[in-house]
Amino acid sequence: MNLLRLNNFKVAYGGIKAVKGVSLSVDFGEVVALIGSNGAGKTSLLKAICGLVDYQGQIEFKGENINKLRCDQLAKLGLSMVPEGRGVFTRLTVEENLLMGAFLVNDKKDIAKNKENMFRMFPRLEERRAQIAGTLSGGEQQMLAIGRSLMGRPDLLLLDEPSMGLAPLMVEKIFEVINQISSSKVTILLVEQNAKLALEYASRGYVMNNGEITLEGPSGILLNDSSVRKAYLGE
Amino acid sequence: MDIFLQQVINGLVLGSVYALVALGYTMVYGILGLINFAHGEVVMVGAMVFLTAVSVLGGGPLVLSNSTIIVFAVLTAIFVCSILAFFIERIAYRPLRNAPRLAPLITAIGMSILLQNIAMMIWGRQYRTFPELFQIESYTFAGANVTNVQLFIVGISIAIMASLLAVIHLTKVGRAMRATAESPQIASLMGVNVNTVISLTFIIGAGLAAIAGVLVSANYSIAHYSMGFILGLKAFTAAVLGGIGNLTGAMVGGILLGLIESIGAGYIGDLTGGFMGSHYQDVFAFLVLIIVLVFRPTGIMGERVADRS
Ligand SMILES: Nc1ncnc2c1ncn2[C@@H]1O[C@H](COP(=O)(O)OP(=O)(O)OP(=O)(O)O)[C@@H](O)[C@H]1O
Ligand SMILES: [Mg+2]
Repeated sequence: MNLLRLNNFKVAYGGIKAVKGVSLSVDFGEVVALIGSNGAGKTSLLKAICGLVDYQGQIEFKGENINKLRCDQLAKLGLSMVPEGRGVFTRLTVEENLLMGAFLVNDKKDIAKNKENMFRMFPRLEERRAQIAGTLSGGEQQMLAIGRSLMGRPDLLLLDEPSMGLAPLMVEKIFEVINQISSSKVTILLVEQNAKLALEYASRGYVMNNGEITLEGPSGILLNDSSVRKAYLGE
Repeated sequence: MDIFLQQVINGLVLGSVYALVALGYTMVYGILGLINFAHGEVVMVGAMVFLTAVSVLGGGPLVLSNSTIIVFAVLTAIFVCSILAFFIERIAYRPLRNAPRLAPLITAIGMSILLQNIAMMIWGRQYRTFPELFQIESYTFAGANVTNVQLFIVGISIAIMASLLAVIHLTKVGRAMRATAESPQIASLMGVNVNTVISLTFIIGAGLAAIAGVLVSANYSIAHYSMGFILGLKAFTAAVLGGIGNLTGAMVGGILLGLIESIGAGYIGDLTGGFMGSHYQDVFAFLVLIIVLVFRPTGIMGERVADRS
């Protein structure tokens, strides 16, 4: 069964059509990559899935129609997003950011345990737990944003360009973490500019262009597709 | 008598009331970027409901001690103001959440006028005197007078502001409010119901306003349907002075404005050679507002008026 399924999904800002009838699905436990050039509509798609922008079309999560649900209701169902540009609460401390991620968790012990897990995954965050998040480096903010999402124990994690603006070493670290998250049974829909890396870590991929899905398939095939190689792998 | 010390005491009393009211402006601004001009009227409604509750409870069949009457009347005022503020937001502001900024501002001014008129219809045009619910005692202290009412006003204000800071900074709800103030969208991704947080913000602000209304009329012993207007403007000035959107700023701004006004009023006669008397007190608040807006629009502790206005 699909964890997430979109059918003829459209997003428009006034007259600007950002997503023009996309159909896509993500299965339980998968890592799925969504690649595409700037302005293709990837962020719009993710935001709409989370209920942050209006959309048209069908959307099912865990087999349920989630049309018209608010963002906070979707979070309750186990949907989480690490937004483009991280979106940490810059005026809250690192620890407070993590606790915000656990807003819907009521069991204090569970929160404490999960926080320890995050600190184990990102020791840097533990060192800086009392620091105001706005003063963290870009990479640290990305770790915090991911850690914050995981604090809510989501079933589906949407990642919007987690490697944006990071140095190669940090990118590697982030992808290691994505691998780790995926092996703990969290399903991931990964939007990336870094198409090669994304497809290496994902089992399947979609290529988005100008608001539409132009190509989809197993990562191995996409990686060897001449149009993908030309457009996204710089060959 | 020591005029300076006396004016400092008066200023602290006045300033604590400004601070309580300024918090309501600043909290709503922090989350919605909206200046809730009807907030002053909520203060007035608090005072009026308190008076009505006192006369109902005091004249009723039950014989109640004065302190019981006061406590119940204050709780009634807080309750009524919270409900009022909840509906103000639902009816007047929420439908305009995504409208251009000017629309809710005009609505807020309209709401303020509407509430004044409704209050005039309910409570009349005349000044209402405050009942003597307790013995007023005056103490002399280093050449200045201070009453038990004044001490009470400052004491209760400090206690309330400390509790508010504790709630905002140490509890889960407070954390959600700060997160929502920074980014409603991201907060909702965490599962926060932004509308609930906004309602809660209005309710907390209204509770503080109700208490401020009771305190300020207890201090002057009168209440009037129009009392919220100037008081609201001054508290708004205090919020701007402290840096609108910033809680500590609202408190500091309130106290400072009270002191400036009071000390200014104490010396304005001397400064102008008797040309202007202490009834020109109101001039100071608006002078402060203009000076702050011209020279430091972000206020004392604020950082981000520019990017939100
Ligand atoms: N709030 C908005 N108002 C109007 N147009 C918007 C808005 N957000 C996005 N768009 C437009 O929608 C299109 C898709 O934008 P989107 O951010 O979804 O692309 P993207 O694939 O995420 O690009 P990038 O890789 O650069 O992040 C763009 O043409 C953009 O200009
Ligand atoms: Mg994007």
